[in-house]
Amino acid sequence: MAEPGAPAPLAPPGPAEPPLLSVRDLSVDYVSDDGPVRAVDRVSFDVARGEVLGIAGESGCGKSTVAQALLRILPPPAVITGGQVLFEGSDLLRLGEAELRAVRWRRLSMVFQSAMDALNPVLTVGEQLADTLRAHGAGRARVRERCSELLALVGLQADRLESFPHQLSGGMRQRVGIAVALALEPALVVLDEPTTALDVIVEGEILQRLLELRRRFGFSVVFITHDLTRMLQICDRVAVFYSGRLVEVAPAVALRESPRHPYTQGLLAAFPSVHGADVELGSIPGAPPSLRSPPPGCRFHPRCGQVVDRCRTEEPRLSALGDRRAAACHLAR
Amino acid sequence: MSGAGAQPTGVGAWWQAIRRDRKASLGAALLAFFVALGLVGPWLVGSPDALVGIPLQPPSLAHWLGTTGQGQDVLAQTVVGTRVSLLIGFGVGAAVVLLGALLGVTAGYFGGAVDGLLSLLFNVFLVLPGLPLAIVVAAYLPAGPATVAFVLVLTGWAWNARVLRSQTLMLRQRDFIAAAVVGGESHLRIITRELLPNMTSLLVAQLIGSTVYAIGAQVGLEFLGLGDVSGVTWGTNLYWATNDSALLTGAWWTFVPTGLCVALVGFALVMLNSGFDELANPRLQLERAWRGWLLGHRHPPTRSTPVVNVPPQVPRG
Repeated sequence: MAEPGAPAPLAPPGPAEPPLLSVRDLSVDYVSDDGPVRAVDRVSFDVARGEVLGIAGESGCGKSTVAQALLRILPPPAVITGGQVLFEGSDLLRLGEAELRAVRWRRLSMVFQSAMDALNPVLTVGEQLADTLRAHGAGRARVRERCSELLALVGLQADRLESFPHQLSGGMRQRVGIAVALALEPALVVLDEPTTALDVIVEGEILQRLLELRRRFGFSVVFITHDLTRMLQICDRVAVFYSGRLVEVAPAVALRESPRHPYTQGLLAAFPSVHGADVELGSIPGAPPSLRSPPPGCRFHPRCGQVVDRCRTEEPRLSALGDRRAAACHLAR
Repeated sequence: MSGAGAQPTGVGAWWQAIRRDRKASLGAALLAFFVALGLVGPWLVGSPDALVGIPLQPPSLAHWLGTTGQGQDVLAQTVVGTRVSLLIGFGVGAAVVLLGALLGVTAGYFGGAVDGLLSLLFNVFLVLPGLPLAIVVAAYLPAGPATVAFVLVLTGWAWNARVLRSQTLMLRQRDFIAAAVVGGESHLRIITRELLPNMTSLLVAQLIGSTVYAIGAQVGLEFLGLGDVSGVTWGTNLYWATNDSALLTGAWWTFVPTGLCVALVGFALVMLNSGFDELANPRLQLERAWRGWLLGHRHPPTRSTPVVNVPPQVPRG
């Protein structure tokens, strides 16, 4: 764990170093009266130490489900129906409640989408930070000092410790959310659409601050958003989800320059570029499939402009394309 | 497991909620038995007032539950007592919740001076000690079921109003109420269509709780002799049993059947309540499916997301 006083310069992860988080064939089902519905289907990805991995996709593609499955905090009726989540040498899917409790927040924390709902309205910011610290066994004297320290980290004045959540703006609240997430210096922070409710200026500031902290402390980040432009700016690598499956994963630059999966191409074409030429924005025809009765073969084939016969019958597997990237498409070679 | 997603509504949904929950089914069956007893029972037994035999006979073939100190049939008295006791119980329960909802929701919804005035009223009634007040009022009014009902409503409504006011205050802040106001809905419509349906489980719980309270308190008042002692209800049965020194003489059959009936009706109502939470909270219905599925896979429902059937993994390329 990196100490605040001694920032470790972040070295690029060597090839020999095992990834911090390694998700293998993770599946999540939502159970209903009519039987289980698979929301996340055999998803595999890695997060290296100090890396920022983005997870992109439309609403309902399973990106938030994956994030919450990592911490095993998906509420009923969700069930994890297979796979492994290897984190710092142990499979989180095999841990008992007590062991999970030890890992959560101390090693693996989360920033929630709605900063308002994630903070208790009747407790001051200081009390909430102190609660987190004390729940994991920090001494009384140390707590006070550490609380101010944490607020400073996210760019808030120490006098904000006495504030109640309703006295803070949305951006300040999300900063507090990040401070709470970083309180115990975790190795991995999951950000589940942390800035969706904020304006772009505040969003930019907060994300910059987060990247700065990452450089200082060397934690890894799983960043979830549907804002692909923003994601490409701040992430090292990006994983694209479609209909509960991982369809493409690539370094952010490579993904922006040469997306291999037609869905990624469609997504990118749907976002305006600030710098580039004034081109007409594309969109993807149709709507995402129902998870209850997904189309056979490639799930994207009904909406795909490059569909061939093989796509309709055979499910493409995620295959490595070299250069640390992979795509699940028959056409990507 | 229901069919292709068609959720029944209205009465069908209530019926299904009861049937799906074993506890609720038990409660409903028990309650149905007592309601049927109250409806048709009096025609199946003889007159409860008739002096049919030697006083204080223990149960026998001629008198299944024995005879009272006056020589009346205990079975007939217990059965006939069911009707008035249940009627007052359900009537008072419904009236208490209705009054509580009317005043509580009004106070919470309109706020300001209306709330101030009504809250003062709730608080006054909450401070008044219920049972002594009931005894005093019942002693001054002409004895009879109507008096008992009136006294119970008078002393019972304030707590429900208080709770519903808080609930209304909370829901009032939510955006869907603001949306309804902006959408031009009338106050009445907002209260009946937007607010009250969100309190269904609370209202049902209150109805059941108030009914249990009403039956118990009514039996209590009548036991003390504050009812019409010439009528036949569960309360007066117990009053006469004490009057005839049932405990001293060891005549257990004069009070055990009635006491058991009161206890069983209360039990039935509480059991019934467990099925209704799900109705008002669709999320709980999903949890039921989830729990059932997990148990089907021999996995206990856990607080952390459960992991079922982790197969041996083959790393993929």
